[in-house]
Amino acid sequence: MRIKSLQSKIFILVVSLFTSVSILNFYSIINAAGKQAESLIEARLNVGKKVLIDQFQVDQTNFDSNVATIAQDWGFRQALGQEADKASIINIMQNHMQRISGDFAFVTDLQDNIVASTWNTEPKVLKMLQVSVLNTDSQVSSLALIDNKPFYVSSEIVKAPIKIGHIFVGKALSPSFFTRLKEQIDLGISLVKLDYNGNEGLLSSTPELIDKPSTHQENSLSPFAFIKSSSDLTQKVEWYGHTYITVSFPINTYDAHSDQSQLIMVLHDSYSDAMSVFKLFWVDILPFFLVGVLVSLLGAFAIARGITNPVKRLLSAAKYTNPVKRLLSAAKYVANGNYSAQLNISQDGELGELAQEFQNMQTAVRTRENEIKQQALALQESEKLKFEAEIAHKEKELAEEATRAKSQFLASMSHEIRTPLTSIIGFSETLKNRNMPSEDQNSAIHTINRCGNHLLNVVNDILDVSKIEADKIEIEIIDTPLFPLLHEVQQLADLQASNKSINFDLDYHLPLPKCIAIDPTRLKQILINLINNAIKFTESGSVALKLSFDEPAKLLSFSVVDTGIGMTPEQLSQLFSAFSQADSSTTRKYGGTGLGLYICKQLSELLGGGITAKSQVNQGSEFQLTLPYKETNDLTLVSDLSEAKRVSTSLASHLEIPTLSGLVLYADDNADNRRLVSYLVKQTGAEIITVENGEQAVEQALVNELDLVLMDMQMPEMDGIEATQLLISAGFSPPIIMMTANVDKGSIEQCAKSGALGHFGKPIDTTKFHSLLSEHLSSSNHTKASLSDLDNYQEMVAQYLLTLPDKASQLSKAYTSNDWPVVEDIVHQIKGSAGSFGFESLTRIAVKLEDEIKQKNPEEIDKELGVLLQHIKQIIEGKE
Amino acid sequence: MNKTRVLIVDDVSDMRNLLASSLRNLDIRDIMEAKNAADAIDIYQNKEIDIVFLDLHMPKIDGFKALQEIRKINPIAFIVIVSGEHSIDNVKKAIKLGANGFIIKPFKLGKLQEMIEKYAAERLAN
Repeated sequence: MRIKSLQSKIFILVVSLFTSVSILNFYSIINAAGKQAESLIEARLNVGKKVLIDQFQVDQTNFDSNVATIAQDWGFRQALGQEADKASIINIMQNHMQRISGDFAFVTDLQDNIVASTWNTEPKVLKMLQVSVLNTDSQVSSLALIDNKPFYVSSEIVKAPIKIGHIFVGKALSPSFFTRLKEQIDLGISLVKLDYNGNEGLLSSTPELIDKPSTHQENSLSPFAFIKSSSDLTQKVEWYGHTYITVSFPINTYDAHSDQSQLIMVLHDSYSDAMSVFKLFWVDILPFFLVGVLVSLLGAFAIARGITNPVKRLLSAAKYTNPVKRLLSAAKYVANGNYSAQLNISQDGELGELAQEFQNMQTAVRTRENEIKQQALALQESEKLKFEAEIAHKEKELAEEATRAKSQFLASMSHEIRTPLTSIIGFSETLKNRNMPSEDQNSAIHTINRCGNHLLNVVNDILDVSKIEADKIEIEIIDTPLFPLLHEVQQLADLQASNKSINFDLDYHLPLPKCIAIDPTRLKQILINLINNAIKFTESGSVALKLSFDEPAKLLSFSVVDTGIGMTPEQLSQLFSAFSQADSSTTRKYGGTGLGLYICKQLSELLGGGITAKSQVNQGSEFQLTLPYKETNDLTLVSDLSEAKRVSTSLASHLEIPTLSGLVLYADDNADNRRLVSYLVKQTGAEIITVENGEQAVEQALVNELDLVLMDMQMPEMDGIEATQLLISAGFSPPIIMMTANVDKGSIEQCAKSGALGHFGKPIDTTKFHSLLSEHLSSSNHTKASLSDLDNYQEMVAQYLLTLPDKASQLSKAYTSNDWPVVEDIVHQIKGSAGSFGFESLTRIAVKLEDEIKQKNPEEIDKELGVLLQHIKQIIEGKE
Repeated sequence: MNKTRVLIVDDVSDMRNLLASSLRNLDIRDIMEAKNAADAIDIYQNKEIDIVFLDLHMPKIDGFKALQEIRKINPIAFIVIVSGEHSIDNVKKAIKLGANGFIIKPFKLGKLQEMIEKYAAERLAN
């Protein structure tokens, strides 16, 4: 009985001893490993921070040196020094802004008054920025928060040669900067605005934070601290419902609205994600632990049995209990992580062996733990090194790739420009030879001319490309009727195709939406480019534009299919990179700059879609443009072919439209009128440029070879009269016709005095307008832009109708607040446009009202205004 | 042969040559060239000149200044600006300072012809 009980006691004692030692060891190792995992994240964050700061500094230094260059610009300093007009200084600054992709610039004199600014914003912002440069004589640069957007702002002294002012230039920190960084450091980056009271506003975040509340979290109390020193802070924060390990560091900034806020860059890594590294580690050591427990169980069992065997020894219990007590206390030591406990048990026999075993175990555990610690450290070190090396490698790769792409681009560009230039120079050299047969002379002149035009195309395409690459292309998504747009594309394609005796087909896979939200200019640019390409590379057969709509997926697809020369897989793979036309012999044979498809691809991506290509040599190619379908107010689906045809191609047979050629310039600040006149001019087959004011009209008139200028009389910035006078003074000779709703004697005299050839009354009478065009443009026999489109016209009327409620509310608002210039302006607009869209009665009322306003007759004005508003209401409600 | 006497002022020799050969194409033979504003003013003072084709962007004295100086010598001088920059401000300024014409580079022969005709018409009117 006693033996059994002692046996089990010793067994339990030894088992608990071993187990507790193991558990404590295990716990301490896990704990250490967890800390190490955390410090690993920290290391990643710190490396990320270093890369971020470096990148910032590089960008800022570049920008600073650009700004310094502007400040040293001779023309700029001269303009400022000679107190040239504001417009000239702004002009110079704007040119620089374009070059360096700056967003604003302004210049102040020595009294800190703003001399000129390219920017319309509150003086408060300007004041804010100025404060920092007071009393300094060197360049100052910083980040500024303006309307919650971060800007690099740099200011430099302008000297001529003494200090005459300061120039301030700002450039928005582009989202692509953060996206690029994100790729490099593989950490989330957030930009947080934090004010002195701890109110936080999230400005931007890469990637989008999960579970981020949809509303802007301005004024929520921040987990981040307002950092008073310039040092940074690493912390674990609960943010938007997730735990992040973050390193935040403040960026001193001006804030346009409060000078007590700080821009905090937060680099973050999700805590749970990062801890997954640690979990792996945990899995690594778990088997060790289990084996340890098992071994201790077996060992304890063996020991317990071994001790109880010789019954004799049991009699002197103390002989055993003393060493066992010592063993127990030593075990406690070890459990506490103290491995140096020495056990002085000199006893022979099994207790002595036990003591020896204990010593051995202690050594083994110590060694194991040290090993694991070493491994963890090594792991951490190697991870860190690996991570750093990876970043360095990625950076190097990116830089190399950028350099390679750049030099490749430059080489190609140089090649593209040199090739036509070589012809131009070569052939013009040969022209020096007076004895050259005139046939050869003609051929040389043609070549020079052709190469010159080609060169112009290359330069234009390069400008497009550089705009795309600098994110300067603006996409304007508007509700666009689909069929008229396709019809326009078809007209151009028909013309090109008929020149090469091939067919162009437009296939609709119905149903298709009647109206889509898109940037029509860019969509047309892409389609025309793809179709022109197809026609260019097709000698016989046909080119087709196939259109289909995947309603469930909300995707529109435009396929351009040809039966042309096709491409090899290698050519196909290179297709969408810049300057990649199969080879230069292709360029010579087929023309083109090799940038078209690249531009198409980039544009399609800007529109949210993409382009893919399939091809087989000598079989033909297929380019598929896919665009997301965005809904408009008009959700009609056209499912009937005849309706589609009617909407797009029906001829307005009741109208006699002349067929003309030539280039018309039309200036009008009213968008409705610009649309209408464009439409009426394009109807005849002639081309048109439209501008919004007199200044733009003068610039365009001097650059283009125009046949006719149509000028609205009343425009902002510069009116039609002034623009006409300026043009006549500048020796401009094509006819200028003044378009005006004022047909009184005074206006007509004024118009004649300005040098305009004649005037044309608004609202526009279509027939009269066409005869005006016929009078000044030469008639042409090329395929007239066949038209339409009664339907197209109706679309315009519909669009005009949409603007009426706005006009009415603006008008009544201006009237109640006695804002007479606005009242007059709107009434004048209505007078000039309503009749053109078929609302003659509205024009008549507007004429009367304008008259009363001029007579300053309050009762009559009130009455007529009521009539006008009532009439607009009736029109909108469809009662007119 | 057209008897009009022309002075071309441009710091870029290619531009001067191009203008000169274009003018020869219009049958104008009496052509002088100046490569800067100072030379131009000097020539204008000492020679009989009917039309000045004047570049705007020139080192030291620019076209605007030259335009003013020539106007001082002859208030009814016929001066046509030939410039690569068509900003409205340049146009306005040139016209304000009394330029008789403004041609944008690159120009077509027709533009030069228009200017020659405008000159002839003005002289006839006077």
